[in-house]
Amino acid sequence: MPKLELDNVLILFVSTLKSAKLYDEGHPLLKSNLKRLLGVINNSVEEDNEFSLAVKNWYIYIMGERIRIHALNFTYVKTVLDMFKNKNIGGFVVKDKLEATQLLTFLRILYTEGLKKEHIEKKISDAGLSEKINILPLIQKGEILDPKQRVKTVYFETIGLVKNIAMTKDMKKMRTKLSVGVYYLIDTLKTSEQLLLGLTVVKNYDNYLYNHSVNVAILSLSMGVRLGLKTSHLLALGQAALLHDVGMSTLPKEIVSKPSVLTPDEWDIIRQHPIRGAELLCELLGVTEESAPCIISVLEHQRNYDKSGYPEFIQMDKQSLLSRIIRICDFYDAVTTPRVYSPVPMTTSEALKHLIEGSGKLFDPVLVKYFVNLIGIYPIGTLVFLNTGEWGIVIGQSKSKENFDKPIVQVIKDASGNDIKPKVIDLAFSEKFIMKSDTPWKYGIDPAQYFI
Amino acid sequence: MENLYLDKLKEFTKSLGKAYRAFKIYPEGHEIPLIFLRELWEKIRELFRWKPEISFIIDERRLLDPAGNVIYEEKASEDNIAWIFYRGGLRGVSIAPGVTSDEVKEFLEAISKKALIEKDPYAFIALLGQKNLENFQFELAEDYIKSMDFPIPETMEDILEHKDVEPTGEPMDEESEEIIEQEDTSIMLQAREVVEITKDEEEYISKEIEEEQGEDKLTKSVNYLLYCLNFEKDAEWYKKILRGIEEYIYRSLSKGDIGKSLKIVKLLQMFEKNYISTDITKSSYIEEIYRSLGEKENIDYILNSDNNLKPEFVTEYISMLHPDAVSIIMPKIPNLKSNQLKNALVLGISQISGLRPNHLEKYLKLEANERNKPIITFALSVLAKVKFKDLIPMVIAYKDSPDSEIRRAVLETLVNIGTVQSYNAAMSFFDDEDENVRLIAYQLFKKYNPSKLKKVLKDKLLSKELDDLSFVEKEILFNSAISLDDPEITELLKNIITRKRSIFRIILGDEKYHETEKLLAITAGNLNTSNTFDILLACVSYGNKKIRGLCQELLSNKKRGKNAQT
Repeated sequence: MPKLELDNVLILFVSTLKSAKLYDEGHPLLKSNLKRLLGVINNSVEEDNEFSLAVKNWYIYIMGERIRIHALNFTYVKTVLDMFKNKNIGGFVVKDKLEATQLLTFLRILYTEGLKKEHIEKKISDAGLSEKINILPLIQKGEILDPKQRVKTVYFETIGLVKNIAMTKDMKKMRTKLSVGVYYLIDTLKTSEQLLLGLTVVKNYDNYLYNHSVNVAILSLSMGVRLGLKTSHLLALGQAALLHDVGMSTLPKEIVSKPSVLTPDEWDIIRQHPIRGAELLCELLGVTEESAPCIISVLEHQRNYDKSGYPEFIQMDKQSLLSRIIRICDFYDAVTTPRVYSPVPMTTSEALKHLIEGSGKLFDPVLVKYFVNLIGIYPIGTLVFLNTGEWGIVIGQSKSKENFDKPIVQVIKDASGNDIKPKVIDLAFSEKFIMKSDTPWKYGIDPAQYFI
Repeated sequence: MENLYLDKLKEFTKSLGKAYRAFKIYPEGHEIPLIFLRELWEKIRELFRWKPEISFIIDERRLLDPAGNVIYEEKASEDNIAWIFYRGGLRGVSIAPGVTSDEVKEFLEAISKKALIEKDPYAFIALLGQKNLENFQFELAEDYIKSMDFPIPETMEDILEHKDVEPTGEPMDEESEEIIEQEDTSIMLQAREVVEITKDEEEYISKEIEEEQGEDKLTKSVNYLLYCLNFEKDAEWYKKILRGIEEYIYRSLSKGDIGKSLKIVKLLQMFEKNYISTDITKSSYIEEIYRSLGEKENIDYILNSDNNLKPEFVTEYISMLHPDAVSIIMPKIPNLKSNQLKNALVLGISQISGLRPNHLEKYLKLEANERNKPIITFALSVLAKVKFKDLIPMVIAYKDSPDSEIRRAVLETLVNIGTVQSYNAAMSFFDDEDENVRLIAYQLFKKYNPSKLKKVLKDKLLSKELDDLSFVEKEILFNSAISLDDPEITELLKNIITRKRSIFRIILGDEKYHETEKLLAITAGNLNTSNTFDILLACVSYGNKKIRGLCQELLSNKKRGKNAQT
C-alpha cells in the first residue's frame, strides 16, 4: 500500500467506525464508508494475504507501515490509540476477504463500550468471524497511570529526544519522534500544566543544552496555549523551541561550557549558533513546510523586538510570533539557570524585572505580560520565606485569579533553617503569607528535588 | 444605555464561544471548562440586571439580538457557535432569569457534544431534549418543526431508529459527509491575572496570530537561508544550506510549483557568477545543483505535469540545466502529448549554455521509424534554433525520408541554419512530393532567402507544368512571385496573364489555363505591391477576354482603394 494512502486509510477506518456507531445499516453515509473500507481491506487481502492495523507504543501501523503523526491526522491517531488502549487490544488482522455485513459486525463489536480483548474475541468467534479476523495483543512500553509519573516520563523522554536530535546523523528518522514528542508535551500541558511547569525548575549542568531546550519548549507551549494558538501552530512552536539552540551543539565544547567569562572572540563564535542551527536543520530536515518555522525561529531567536540582536545580516521584516515567544522563554530559562561560570542564577523576580524592563525593546511587550501571567509573581521553584520564618518552595499556583500572590508552597525548613518533613500549604487558604522570595540556588537548594 | 447592553450581549456571546471551546476540548470533570463556565455565568447574571430575559436569534454564522443587531459573527465554520446552533436546527435561544449555573453547564455540555456528532442533524435537538434545561427556550428551524410529527429521540437507539427521516431544508454538505471533520484540538488555559491584558492587547495578539497563520514560512525561511548562504564563509556549512535549499527546489518542483524553484535557482545562479572568480568550491557546489536539477526524477516532475506548467517557466528551467540533461529529456519525447510543452522544451534546450553538437548528434543518427520520429523531429527543431553547422550532413541525410513530417522538419532546420550548403540542400523541397512541404518551402524562402526563391519562381513560372499545379500551390507561387516585386518576375507574370491560346488549346478546352490566369489576377488584386498595377493593366490591355473584365474590376477596386487612402 503506498505510504501516501495510509493517512486516508486511517481516516476512513475512524470515519466508518463512527458512522457505524451513529447510523443504521441502510444509511447512505455508512454504506459508502463501508464500501470504501471494504475495498481497501479486501484489496490488501488479495495482494498481501492480509490487512492489519496495529498499535505499538505511540504508533499506529497499517500493513506494517508506521503512520507519521502530524497536525491533520492527530485526532484520528489519538482516537484509535485511545480506543485500542481502553480495550486492551493491540489492533487486528484480517486474513480473509470480508463481506460488508461482516465488516459492520466487526466494527460494531469494536466500538461496543466496556468490551476488553477477551470479550471482543469471543464476540468475533460467536459471529463466525474468528477464521477471518484476529485480535492482536496490546504491546505497551510501561504503561504509566500516575499523572506525576507520566509527566516526568514525558519530560525526560523529551530531553532524551533533543539529545538524540543534536547527535543524530539521520534526522529524517527523528522527524516523527520530534512531532510525537511535541504532541505529548501539548497533551500533558492540557492535563497537568502545573506539574510540567514544575519540571522546568530542573536544571542540569551536564545536559544544560537539552534541559534548557525542553524547558523553553514547555514555557513556550504554555504561552502558546494561553494565547489560543491552534494545534498546528503549537506543534510548530514546540518543535522550534526544542530546536532553537541546536546550533550550540556544533560549537566547540570548551567555549560553550567555559567556566569563566567569554572573550570577545569566543562571543563571536557563540553568536554563530543561530546560523549553525539553521544550517544543521537544513541538512537534517531539509527546507519543508514543517521545518520552515523551526529554521525561522532558530535564526530569529536571538533577534530582539526592535530588530537588534544577531545574526544582524538577516534582513528581518518582522520577527515571527513564535520567535518572539521563544525569545522571552529562552531568556527567562537561561538567566534563572545556574551555569558553571555562574552557579547562582538570577532570582525569578530579577528575571521578571529584566523582562519588563526590556519590554518593547528586547521583548514583545504584550507577550511579556502574558508570560508574567503564565509564571506568576512567585514562579514555580521559587524559594519563599513565610511570615512564620519557615522556608518553602513554590510548587503550584493558586487556582483563583485573585490569589496570584498566594501560591501553593511546600514548606521545607523551619524558622531556624532546619530541614523538616515537607508539607504542602495552599497560601490562599492559610493565614501564612510570603515575606520575601529568593533563588533556592543561593542557599544550595536544588528545587528540582521537590518535583522529580 | 442600549449600546451598553449591546456591548454586554457581545461579551456574553464571546464568553459563550470560549466556554464552548473549553467544554469541547477538555474531558468531563476537568477544571478548566469550569473556569470558563464561571466567567460565562458572571456575564449571564450581569445581563439579567439589565433585562428580564436573554434572547438571541441564530442567523447562520451570526447571532443577532431581537432588534437585529449583530452580537456575534465569525466567518469560519469551525468553532463558530452560531453555525453550530444553526446546523443543529436551532433558530433562536431564550434564557429565563431562573436559569441556574448547572443548567448553563448542561447546555454547554450538550453543545460541545454536538461538535462530536454534528453529522447527525437530530442529535443536537435530541441531546438538548435529554438535558434538564427548564429555563432555556429553543426556537427550532421550520423544517424541523414540520418534521416533528415523530417522537424526539432520547437515546442513541432512538436516534438510529429515526435516522432515515432527514430534515428537508437543512444544509447538508455532500462532500464533507464523506470524512468526518477534523476536530480542532486547540486548548485554552485560564491565565493568572498578575498583570491585566487589555482588550487592545488581546486584539493585537489575535491579529498577530492571524498574521502568523497567513505567513508563507517556507518562502521566508528560504529567504533567510539565502542571506546565510551569502554570509557563510565555511564551504562545508555552505554545502549544508545548499542541501536544504536543494530539497526546497525539488519539493516545489514535485508540487508543480516550478516558479518558486526557478526564483531560487536564478538567485543561486547569481551567487555562482559571483563566486566563479573568488571561490571555486562554492561555485562548484552550486553547479552540482544544476546538474542534479537535470536528473531524471526532476525532469519527470516537469514532463509529467504536461499542460499544467507555464511554458515560459519550463523554457527557463530547462535553459538553466546542465547539457547532460538533454540525454534524459530526449527518450521521453515520444510520450509527450502537449505540443506547447514540446515547444517550451525545444526553446529551453536550445538556450542551455554549454550545449554542443555532440549532445544532439546521436539523436540525428537514429533510424527514422515510428518510434524515433518524434525524437528526430524534436532534435531537428532544437538544431534549427542552435544552428550547429557541423550537423548539416546529418540533417541532409534525412532529406529523402519517406516520412513527410521528418522532411518538413529537415526543411525548417536547413533554412534556419541558413548556410549556403543548407539552403542548397533545402531547394529540393520545392519539388517535394508532399504539397504541404512545398508550400512551407515557399514561405520559408520568401522570409529567409528571397534571392534563392527568385530562381525557383522563375523556373516554376516558365515551367510547362505550371497549369497542372494545385490551386493552393499556384496561389502561394503567385503570391510569392508578386510579393518579390522583381521586374524580371513581374514580366513573367505579365506574360502568363496575357498569353494567347492556340486553336488546338481552344478546341481541347482551356479551363485550367483560365483558372491559372484568374488566380493570378485575383492574387494580384489582393496584394499591394507596385507591380500589381502592371500585371492587371497588362491583363486589361492584352489579356484573354475571359478574364479582362475581372482584371478591369480588380484594377478599379485597387484605384478606389488607393484614392480612398489618399
